[in-house]
Amino acid sequence: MRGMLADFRNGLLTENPVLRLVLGLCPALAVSTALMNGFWMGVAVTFVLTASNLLISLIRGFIPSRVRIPCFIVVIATFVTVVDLSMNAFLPEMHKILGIFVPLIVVNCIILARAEAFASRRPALNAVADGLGMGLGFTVALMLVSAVREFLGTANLVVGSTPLFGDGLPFAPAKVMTLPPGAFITLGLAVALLNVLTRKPPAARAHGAREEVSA
Amino acid sequence: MRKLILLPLVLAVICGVAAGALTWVESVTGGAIEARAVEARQAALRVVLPDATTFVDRSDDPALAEDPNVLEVNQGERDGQPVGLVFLVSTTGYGGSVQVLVGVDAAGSLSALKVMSAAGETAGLGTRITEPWFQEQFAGKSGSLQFGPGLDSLTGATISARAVLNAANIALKAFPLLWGR
Repeated sequence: MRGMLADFRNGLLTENPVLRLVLGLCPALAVSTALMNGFWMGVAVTFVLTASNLLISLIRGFIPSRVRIPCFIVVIATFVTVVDLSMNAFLPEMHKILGIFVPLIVVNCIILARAEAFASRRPALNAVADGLGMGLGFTVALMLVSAVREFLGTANLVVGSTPLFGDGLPFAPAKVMTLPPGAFITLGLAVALLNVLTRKPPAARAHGAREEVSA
Repeated sequence: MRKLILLPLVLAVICGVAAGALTWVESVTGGAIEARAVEARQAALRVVLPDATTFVDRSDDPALAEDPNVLEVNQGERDGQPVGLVFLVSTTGYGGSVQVLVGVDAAGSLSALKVMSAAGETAGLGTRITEPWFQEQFAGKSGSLQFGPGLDSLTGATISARAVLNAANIALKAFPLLWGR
């Protein structure tokens, strides 16, 4: 029960799945072409992550450790199918755009990693806090990358279904930003930026380095 | 020995619960998904037969039994009156089958056709059969079609172009067998 806030905050910055752990890059690179794509992908992942974390934490005493991975995968796959079917029924346009990347959430390593490393050893509420934090961290990272790509690549930004800048801003869009290279460029710069912003002072860094070696 | 029973049992219970939950979700969302799939299909059929508002599946009609190239037939209707037929025809292209949706109106002439699948055709040559100008020139034609004045083939893609022509001819030939019955 204790430390829920810390568990929640952990995923936002310290262990941001995309920008810090550099996990789940397949959807992060592929669907981050437009802000709304990033947003809905993030929502889908957050739902699956939180729900599977909660359920796995609740049944963790019941699962023998030898078959834990198949059990986790069944739980995760179930929630992914729920998301896939619901999006297909209620958000058909977005379902078409995200396409294969919704079912592929099953093999998103963030989700299995959180199930194995966190949810299977902690109380339910902490697991939910961790899932929400990680999911939100993933969503924010994806929205950041996709907003930059959409803005530079199309000279516009679509929120909901309304373009913010009418017919687009008067600069030539850099098409490359919406193509795969743009994803790598943007993500690389975002990771670098976060590293610079959160750089520790030299003394603390030396200490941290020793810790890493001993670990 | 105990493990041998316990492990599969736990897994089976989890899978069973998951299957139950998904059955319920499927029953909630299934209707909306199905309705959208039908609507998308009808919209695709309407592209080649714009006069029709609704379509009735006639793929099981015995008159078609001997023609393996015709995959599906839908009868287009407006206000309950039939206005034409839409055939999904599969013919042999350069690298596999080409699937063409062919609309034929009440007068027996071709209303429009649309190449649905040309995956096996050569990129840049055979795949030009999906270009609008190529498909549009079939509109309004009837009888037994041949390439010539008024109906251009494609340079360097004779076989792919012929696959579309064959599909149009198959549909036009099958039309009288089904129309008005």
